[in-house]
Amino acid sequence: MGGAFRIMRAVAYRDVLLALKSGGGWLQGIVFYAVFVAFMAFAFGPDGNALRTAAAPTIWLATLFAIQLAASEMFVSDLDDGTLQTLGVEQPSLLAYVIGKLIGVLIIVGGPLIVAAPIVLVMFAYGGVNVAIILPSVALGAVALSLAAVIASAINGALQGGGRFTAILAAPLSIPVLIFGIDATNLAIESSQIWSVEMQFLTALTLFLTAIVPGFSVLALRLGLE
Amino acid sequence: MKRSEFEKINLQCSEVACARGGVLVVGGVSFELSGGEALLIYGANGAGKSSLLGAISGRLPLSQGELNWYHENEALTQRQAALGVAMLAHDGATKPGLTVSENLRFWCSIYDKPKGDIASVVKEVKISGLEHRRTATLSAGQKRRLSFARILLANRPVWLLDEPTASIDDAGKADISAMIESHSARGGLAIIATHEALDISHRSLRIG
Repeated sequence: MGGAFRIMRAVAYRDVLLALKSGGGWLQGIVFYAVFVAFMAFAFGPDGNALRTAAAPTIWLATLFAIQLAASEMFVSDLDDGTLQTLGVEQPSLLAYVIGKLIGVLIIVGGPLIVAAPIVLVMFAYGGVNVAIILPSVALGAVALSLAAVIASAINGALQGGGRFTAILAAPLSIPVLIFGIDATNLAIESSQIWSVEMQFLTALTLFLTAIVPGFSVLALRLGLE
Repeated sequence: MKRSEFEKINLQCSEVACARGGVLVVGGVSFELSGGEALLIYGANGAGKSSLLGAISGRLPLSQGELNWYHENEALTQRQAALGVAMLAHDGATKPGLTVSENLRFWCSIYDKPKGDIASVVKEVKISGLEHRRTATLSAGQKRRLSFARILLANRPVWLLDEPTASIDDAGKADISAMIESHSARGGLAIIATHEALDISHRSLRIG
C-alpha cells in the first residue's frame, strides 16, 4: 500500500512540475474557461433575469469543456516517450499511476476552475448572494468530469486517436453529471440548499465514477501497450 | 533484491510464439537463461525482436508456449517477476521538459530508492555536470546514458534492452557494453534485442 501511495504522489508531482514548466500550458484550461464565461455573459445581454438563469449552465459547461480541453491528451506523452511502456513492464499494476494522473489533473485544471466559479456568479448578476455556496457542487462536479475525461483519454490513448474523440467518448458519462450538477448548483444559489436530492445524486455519480474509472482506465492502457 | 541475490534468477522459455494483430511474428523460441548471462536477440528490422522482448517482459500475451521466471528453482509470480525487471524501451522514458535530475528524482520515487543514489549513477553513466540541463537539450547519446542511469537506479536483476545502441557513437557503444558486462559480472541477467554486434560475452539467438 505504501508503494502505491508513493507512486501516486510521484506521478502527480511530476505532472504538476511538467505543467508549471510548460510555459503556461497549465493555464490553457482556465483561460478557455474565462473566455467562454465572458462571451456567454455578453451573449445573454444585460437582462438580469436571463443572466441569472444562464449562470449555472454556463459554469458547468465551461468546467466540462475546460477539463476536456486540458485533459484529453493526458496519456499521450507518457505513451509516446516510453514512460508508460516502462511502467507497464516494471510495475505489477498501473492503478497507482492512473490515480496519480487523476490527482495531477485535479490540481492543475480542477483547482483553478473551482476557485473561479464563485467569481463567475458575480458576472451573472448574482452580486448580492453568498457566492461561495456553489463551491461544494462545483468541486464535486470537477472531480466527476475529470474522471470521465480520464477514462476517455485512456481509451483514446490506447486507440492512438490522440485525443480527437475524447469529447464523444466522455459524453455518456458527463451528461448525467451535468443534469444533476446544474440542478444542484441552481438550488444552492436560489434557496441556499447545499445537500439537496440533486446533490445526493451528484455525489452518487461521482462515487460510481471513482469506483469504475481507475480500473477500466488501466485495462484500456494495458490494451494500448500491446 | 540484494546484489548477491541477482544470480539466483533464471528464465525458461519453451516454444514461445508471439502474434500481433492475429499474425504470427515470432515462433518456436526456446532458451534458458540464468543470472550472470546475457542473451543477444539478433534479427533484421521487423524480424520480431521487439515483439519477442515484449512477450518476455509480459507486455504482450504469448500465443503459444511457456515462459517462466524462477528464483532458486522457485517459480515467481507475475508480480514478483515484474518487480525484478528494468526495461529500456525504444524511447527512453524521460521527459524532455524536465532536467536530468528531475527525471531521475521521479524514477527514484517510483523505485523507492534514496535520492542520494542519483549522484553515483550519474557519475557511472558519465553525464556528471549535466544534472541541471533540460533533457530536451541533450544529445541522443546523452539521453541514452540518462536512460541507463535510470536502469542502474532501479538496481534490478533483469535487464530487458530494446536496441540499446541505436544511433550511438563508438565511445557510447563501448560504455554501454561495459555497463552490461558489469551487470553480468554481479550476477544480473540481460536480454538485448539488437541488429548490431555488441562487444560483450553473450549467448545469441537469431530470429527472422
